[in-house]
Amino acid sequence: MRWLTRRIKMWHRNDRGSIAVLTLFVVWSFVAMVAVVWNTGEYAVRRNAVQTAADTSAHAAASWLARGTNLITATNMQIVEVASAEAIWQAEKQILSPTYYGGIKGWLAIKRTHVYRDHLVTPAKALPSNEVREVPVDALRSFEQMTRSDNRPSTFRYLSRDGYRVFTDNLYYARDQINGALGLPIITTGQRSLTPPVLGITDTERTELEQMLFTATVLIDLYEEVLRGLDEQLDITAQLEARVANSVSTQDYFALQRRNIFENFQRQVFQTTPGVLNEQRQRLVDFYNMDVATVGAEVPPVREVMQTNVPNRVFARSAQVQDFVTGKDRSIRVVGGTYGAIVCPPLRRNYYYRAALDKAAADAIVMPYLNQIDASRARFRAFYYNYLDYRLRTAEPQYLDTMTQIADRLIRRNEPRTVNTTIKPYTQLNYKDYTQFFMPSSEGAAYTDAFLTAPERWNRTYNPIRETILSRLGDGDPVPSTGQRRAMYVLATYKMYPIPDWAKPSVWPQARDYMRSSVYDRNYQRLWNFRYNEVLTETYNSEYLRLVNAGVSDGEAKRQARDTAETFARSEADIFARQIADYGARMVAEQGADMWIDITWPYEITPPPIQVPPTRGLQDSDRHQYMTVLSAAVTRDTTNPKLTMTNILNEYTVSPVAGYAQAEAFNWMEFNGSYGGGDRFDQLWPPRPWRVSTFGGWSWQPKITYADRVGHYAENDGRIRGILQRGGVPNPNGSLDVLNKH
Amino acid sequence: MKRYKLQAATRRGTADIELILLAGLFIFLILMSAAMRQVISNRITLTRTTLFEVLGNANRGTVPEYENTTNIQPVIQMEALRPTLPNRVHAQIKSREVPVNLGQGIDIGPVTIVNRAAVVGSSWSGSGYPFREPDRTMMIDWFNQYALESHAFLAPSIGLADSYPP
Repeated sequence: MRWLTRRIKMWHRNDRGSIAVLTLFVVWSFVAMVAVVWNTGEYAVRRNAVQTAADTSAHAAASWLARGTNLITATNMQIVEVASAEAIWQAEKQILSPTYYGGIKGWLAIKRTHVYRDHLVTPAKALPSNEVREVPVDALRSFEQMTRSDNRPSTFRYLSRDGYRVFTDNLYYARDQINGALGLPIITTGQRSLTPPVLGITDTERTELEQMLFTATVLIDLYEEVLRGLDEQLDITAQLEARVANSVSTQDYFALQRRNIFENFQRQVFQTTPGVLNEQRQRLVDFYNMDVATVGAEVPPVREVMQTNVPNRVFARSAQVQDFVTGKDRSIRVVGGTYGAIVCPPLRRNYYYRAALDKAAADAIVMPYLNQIDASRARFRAFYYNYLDYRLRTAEPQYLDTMTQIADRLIRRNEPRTVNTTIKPYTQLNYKDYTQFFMPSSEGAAYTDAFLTAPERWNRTYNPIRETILSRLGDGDPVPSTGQRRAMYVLATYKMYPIPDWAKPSVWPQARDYMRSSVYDRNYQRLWNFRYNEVLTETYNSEYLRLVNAGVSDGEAKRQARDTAETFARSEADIFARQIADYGARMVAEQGADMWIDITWPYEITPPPIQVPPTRGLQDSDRHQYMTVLSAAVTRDTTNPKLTMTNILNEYTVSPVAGYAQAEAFNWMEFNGSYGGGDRFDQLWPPRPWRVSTFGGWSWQPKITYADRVGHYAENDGRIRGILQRGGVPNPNGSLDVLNKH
Repeated sequence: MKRYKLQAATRRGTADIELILLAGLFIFLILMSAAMRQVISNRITLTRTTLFEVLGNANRGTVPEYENTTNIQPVIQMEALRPTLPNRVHAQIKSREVPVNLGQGIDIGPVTIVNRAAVVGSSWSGSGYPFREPDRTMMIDWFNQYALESHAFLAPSIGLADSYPP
């Protein structure tokens, strides 16, 4: 004990070596300081490295999602391109077909023959006796038989033998005159007479024959001119056909066939993406020498749908409106319309856009030729009216009535007859004027079309073909050949959604106003025309009578009555149409707006269930489900932090470091207010394109985002949870804070 | 006692001398810490720089940054469906010589630090910012070539608009 006490006292008396001890500690401290600096840096570096691995893995996965989406979208563009090409091609093929004009020409030649036959060879039609109405059209042959055997048909037995002969001579003379005029061969068989027969025919019969001959001459002159015009048009058509000759061998439905190829490509892209993501992840694992897990979306954010259009449109009802404008006891019908057919579902919107471009380009080639065709027709019209005018002015007195009847029949317009029955200069007439005569039967339907202006016919041909091909592509209607609807890829979030209840009160007035405006526009012109014609006739007749009774000359009375009636009718029609259309449109809109906002709409942005502050782009739920990927990375033995003095500094020697990152495929159009990206469901009606479809944009890109899904995957995905646990997160379940502070 | 005191007096100051001598060691260790900090800060910086550079190259770089790397081979499954897409991976194993010295004139030589990062190249987008002309041109060419295969025989004949990448 004493020894111990002495030794303790000596420590105070003997300080030898104390500095050495102190120095030892100081040295250790400095060494430890160096180690701490190293370890901290090493850990930070490894932490950054693993974060880089996570970031780039997530970015790479999102890149492949974006790439796949872009490829599928681009292929959709190819589909509409080739569909539009087929529409143009089909339309050109129809309008250029030589058989089309050839058919018209052939039909017209037959018509000319009928004129010849009906007016010249079958005189019975013109004879006054009812007994001969049933003369067969091959009467000429019967006449020939008559001259040989005197076996007269019973229908002609009322004529004497001399009468038959003279009558037949007249017929042959007329036929030969016509044949000569038309350049047709002169019939050499049978009895002929090259001199005008004058004996054995009654004056009535002679007059009838002369009138028939005159009529036939006029008509055949016109037919001949039409035939010449068609020859000219055929020549122009042949030039255009030569211009587009390379397309002749194209097969029908080639767009459909091409679409199969495109669809196969799309499916390959879609099906390949998961494997690509896995291979890409493996490449990065090898590159970083770390373990990486990537979870989330594994396919491009698209999906197949069978129908992109609105299936349940609103058919707004018509309204019966009491005629409170005129005070008459009658109801006027205001027609509703079809609503809810959004014009921009993915396929349709881009197809229309593409079709408009192609149409403009095709017009540049086609229109010059079509204008030449129109010029040819203009020449015909000039001839037509000038010719009628000339024949009217120069007709001999005995033919004037017949000529007037012909002209009146050909060019009378559908106007109030009391207003104007005079022949207008041809420049003021439309094509219907001279087609009325040429197309009395259904066989002339195509011929009617030929007398449209060529550009108009081109457009009328193209538009229905465009719609047919759109339908054939599968937008809404089943494919004709299979009866099945075709699937196409659209954005995965593109679904039919009802307008949320919270938004309906706000959009209902917009829907009502929109519908009201639409119904008004739809009905105004119709009601205007209705009222104009009604007032015009009534006013003209009463005014005409008033003027005549007042002693005004007939011509002056007509002119004044017409001016007065037209002015008054225009004024009346406007008031009538405005008030009736507006009242009816309001009635329709009040009812229709309810239905319109109750249908589902093909949005690609899920409507928020409750009213929220203005937000742009997709809802988080959709984004997470379809476009988000989460990557987690953890170091391996070879990449773990290499720490020093771990025992003394109580560092983990082999603890891996983990990191995580979230990325997504996104499209900037989603945020573009100009395309409806920021539209709220309660603020704009009807919705604009982006909220409806983004088919046209393939600018999908990856981006690193705020990792708001890490908690979800940490709880629900063993791969992510495992990596985080290896990285030192004790229990990631439900611990987003822990993860974000990790 | 006097002798003892005398002896103590003769050793007085030796610890000071030792401390003075050890000061060099202390300074060396402090300078080593500084050197470590220098190396570590460069490593951290290099980590970020590597990532940012490959991201920049992938998105906004121009030739020759577009050259493919052999550090990591691109995945070709999807690109193989229809080649000629700009299927690059921008991978860098970036090294840097960090000069380390223990003060003025005491250079202990450079330390080589290494870091790596890899980013998949363009997203095959025809018009999306920030991609620049080379990628855009490649995509447009790819699209147009695809379009021409489908109806090239029609385009110049019947009159069609040029294909336009979306």
